[in-house]
Amino acid sequence: MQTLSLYLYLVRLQLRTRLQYRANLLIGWVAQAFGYASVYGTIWIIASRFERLGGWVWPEIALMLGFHVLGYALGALFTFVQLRGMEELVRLGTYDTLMVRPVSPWAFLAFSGINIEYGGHIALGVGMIAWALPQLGIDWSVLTVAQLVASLISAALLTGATLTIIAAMALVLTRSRYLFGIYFDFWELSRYPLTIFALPLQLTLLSIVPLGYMAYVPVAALLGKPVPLIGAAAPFAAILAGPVMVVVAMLVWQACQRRYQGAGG
Amino acid sequence: MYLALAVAGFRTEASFRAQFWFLLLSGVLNVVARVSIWQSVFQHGTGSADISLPQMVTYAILGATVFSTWEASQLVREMGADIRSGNVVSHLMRPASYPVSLMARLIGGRAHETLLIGLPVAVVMGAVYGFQPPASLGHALLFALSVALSLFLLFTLATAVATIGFWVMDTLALDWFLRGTLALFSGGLVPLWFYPDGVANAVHHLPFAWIAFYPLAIYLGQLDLMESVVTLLYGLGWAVASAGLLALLWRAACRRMVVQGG
Amino acid sequence: MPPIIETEGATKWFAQKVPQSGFTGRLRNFLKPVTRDVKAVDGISFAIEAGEAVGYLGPNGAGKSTMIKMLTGVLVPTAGSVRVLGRVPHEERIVNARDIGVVFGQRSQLWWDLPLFESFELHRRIYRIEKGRFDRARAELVDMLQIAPFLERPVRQLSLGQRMRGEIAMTLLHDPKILFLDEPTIGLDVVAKDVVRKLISRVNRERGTTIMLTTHDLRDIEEICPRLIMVDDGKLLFDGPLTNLNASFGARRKLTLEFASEPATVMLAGAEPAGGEGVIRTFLMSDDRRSLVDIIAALKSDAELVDVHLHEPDIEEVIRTYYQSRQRQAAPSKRTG
Repeated sequence: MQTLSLYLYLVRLQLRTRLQYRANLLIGWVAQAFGYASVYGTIWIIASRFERLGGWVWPEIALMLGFHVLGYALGALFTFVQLRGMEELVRLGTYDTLMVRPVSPWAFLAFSGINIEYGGHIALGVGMIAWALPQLGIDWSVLTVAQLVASLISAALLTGATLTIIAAMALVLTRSRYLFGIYFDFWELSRYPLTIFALPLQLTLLSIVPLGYMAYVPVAALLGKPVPLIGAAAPFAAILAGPVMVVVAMLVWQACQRRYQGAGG
Repeated sequence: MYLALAVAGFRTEASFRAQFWFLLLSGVLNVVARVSIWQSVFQHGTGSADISLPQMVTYAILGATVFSTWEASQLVREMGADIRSGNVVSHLMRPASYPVSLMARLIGGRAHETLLIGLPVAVVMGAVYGFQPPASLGHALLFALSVALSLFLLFTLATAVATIGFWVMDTLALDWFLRGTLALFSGGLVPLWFYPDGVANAVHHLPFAWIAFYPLAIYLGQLDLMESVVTLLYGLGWAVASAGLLALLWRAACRRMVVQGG
Repeated sequence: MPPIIETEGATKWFAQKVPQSGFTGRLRNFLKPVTRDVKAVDGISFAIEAGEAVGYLGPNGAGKSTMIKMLTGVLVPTAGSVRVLGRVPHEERIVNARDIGVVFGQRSQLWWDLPLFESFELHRRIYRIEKGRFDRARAELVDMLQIAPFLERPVRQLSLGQRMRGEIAMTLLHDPKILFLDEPTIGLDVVAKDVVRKLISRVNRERGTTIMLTTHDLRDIEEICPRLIMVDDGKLLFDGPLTNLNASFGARRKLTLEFASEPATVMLAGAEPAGGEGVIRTFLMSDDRRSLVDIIAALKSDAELVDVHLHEPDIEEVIRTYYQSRQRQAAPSKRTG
């Protein structure tokens, strides 16, 4: 309870600091949403010109893209910018100052650095989902709503966990920038229907780089579209992928923490 | 002297050897994504009457390697950092034109990336997916000219955008605007001939189309030699216009700095 | 009562990457790098009692920070044992952290963009200090460290000395039993250094907080710490009262005698002539226990003594002599090896 109130307090402090520069924040939201929307625009051009992409029509793709960016933003909110700087934190010794306090360094970083720059992502994601859903004739029930929410949370957890694993490696390797780069390359692949890719890549995105569960698997499951390789297990896989990755991330984090060498000296 | 800067840009890149393999993988994934899209829509969808799948594969491979706009983003961010920290003043005191030295650095970095990353990726991916030669020798020559034009336009526009950073101070947002604009209007991802008619008519005349779309269209022979030459001249007009715009913005920025006392 | 801090053969090795060249070497660098062990702390044992103030001295790279990091639970010792308040710090990092305070001279723990008092409030929540206790501690520390004038100012506007005072005050809010300070005076100007030293010393005397500080500045230790632990190259060189350092390092007092006229002979029992010309003669004293009166009584000379000056070597000199002799020892071995 006291731990939770500490985290909320950290979030409040960070918000107060960030809200000192409201105009910049707003420009940033618009700029990032524009950047994403432009890429989505090119995908729309392909989908509308050729009617289908990997067997998906535009409203279906739009739902997937909205889900993708929303799930990413909700996870990255607590992780990306904070953990991207991990190699710096280690090099400058800032990480050591976290370790001498009675808190979890991960939680402290996550909450004290909560990044509200994702407003544009979230608005874009919510907007696209809201636009696409009514056109898709989904048979809504309590179960499907629960499925949508649970798989969205799972996507957010998946994002947070994957970024955490990469950052944990910075504790040991002292370098992780390229790994973040590779993450984003796969992440870009994960916004297209998996069916457009060759089998080995499909397999990769569903196993060792499980970003297929970011948007494609959950949305395909929701729309009742066939999913290669995992078939009927798709709805469950979509909901479980995030929590499973969280467990993996915790193990990796602990292992790396024990092998941590500090900034040297 | 600017050559030395270009060489230095090349060298800085070369010093990050470890980065090499990651960039290579990154380049491969980028090509795979684009080619997969075209394969999917041509094999399972309606396809296109004007253009063949092998041509689109070539378009995708070149678009992802030779026409990467990564350095432009870097330039905007670096210059933004220089403006914020005030380092830009020390650059200005050197006996060299800051924009021109930036351009030299951009070209150095570009050349390095193309040779060390782009070329290997293009060769490997070409071997995997197939690769078309230029439509003719004439097209090849005009393509080479259009690449030079593309670099110049990319540089002037990126620097002009970065110069706005003297007034708004938030270059990260500027970088996102630039990236979005290039994704949508340069035709690097999707050729303009797939764009809906109304949009295409407008985009065809914007300077961004010369950054990726026209060079690739020339390479593939979508424009005949005469059309290509006319297009290049049109692009040259845009190059002059954007250089003029940059010069104006730059002078205003310098004046602003003098007024503020650096 | 058992010691508050105890180490037994504490050792920390770091694996340092040895870069391999060539294509396969680079691939190997990435997949399974070749490493070499560097001994940052090499079998160090000491015990510190509650209420002591101990200076941990050594040149850069001697393994001072590594020791502090093992004691605070940041790093896991490679061998040997480390106990703080009866606990193994890295196994009970969070419980240990509640009972200790750590100040890093080079890295601020304050919230950069917010006023100083906000950092205090955050500290209260991190350490779960009960409100009444916190208010009392805060009032007391604000008074003691004289930080009231800048409590409301954003940390980024404070001078380095003000920030260090704020830093120390914050670290004491939860009333830690031990205060670790890693290079607390580094980068401060002379005046700020003096203020910070006096404050740390007061904290030790008035609050009874056990102090362990690392430094490479001897003045820190002279003014704060009666006890010195000296390390170099990961090994323990000296552990004891500061005043014993001279004897243990064989430093000798220097006696300068001034005569009314140039003496023909000067004999001084138990002293070694060390030059001088004209009316001045200097001696190095071999026996440090003798009083000045005894020494002068033993003087045999044909000239009249005008003035006597006894020069006590200060620690800085002692240590400088030590490091210089060590370098001289190291130099020939480099040539042969």
